[in-house]
Amino acid sequence: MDLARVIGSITATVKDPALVGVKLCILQPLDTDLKPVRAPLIATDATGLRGDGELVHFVESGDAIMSGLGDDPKMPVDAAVMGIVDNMTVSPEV
Amino acid sequence: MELAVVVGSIWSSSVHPAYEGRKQMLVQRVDMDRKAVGHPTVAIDYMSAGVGDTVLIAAAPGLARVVFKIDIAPIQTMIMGIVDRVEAPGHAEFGVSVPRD
Repeated sequence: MDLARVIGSITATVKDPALVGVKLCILQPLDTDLKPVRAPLIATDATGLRGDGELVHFVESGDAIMSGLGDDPKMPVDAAVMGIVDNMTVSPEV
Repeated sequence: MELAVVVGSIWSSSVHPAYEGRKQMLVQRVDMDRKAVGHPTVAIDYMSAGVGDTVLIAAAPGLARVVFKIDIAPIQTMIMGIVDRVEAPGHAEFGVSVPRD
């Protein structure tokens, strides 16, 4: 699971029926210095994000498939936001 | 599984239900010389690891389902053990039980 900043959102009218009503956000993966580590990607949100600029963590690949809420957890996605980071402590000397 | 060092922790109030009540740590993958490889990532810890500990981490789909015995577990990276000592020929020993300079 990587850290990321929400840097935008995606709207798509034509998409897989399972994705209807699901929020798609653009994530910039970060390290613990909050510096970008790779290219931005698109992920679904299982946490009820409030908007751009939030620090989150997300899962990728096979784990994101189980990320849906409600009766059917299976989601046809390869990345999903799992939590909003309220507080982070990093030990510099380790 | 890979070697990593615990470098910090995060606190989230709004998480997926599978994450509720679980400890979220920041881990940095390391090589056999305890040098950082790649960037730090988030791992779920059920071993009670602390900052500075050398740990074993694993990342595989379905791993958390087996460990926590829950059906829906979108958890990617987990701390599977706390490393007492890494002994590899040609490399300095390190681990929780090896004093650091």
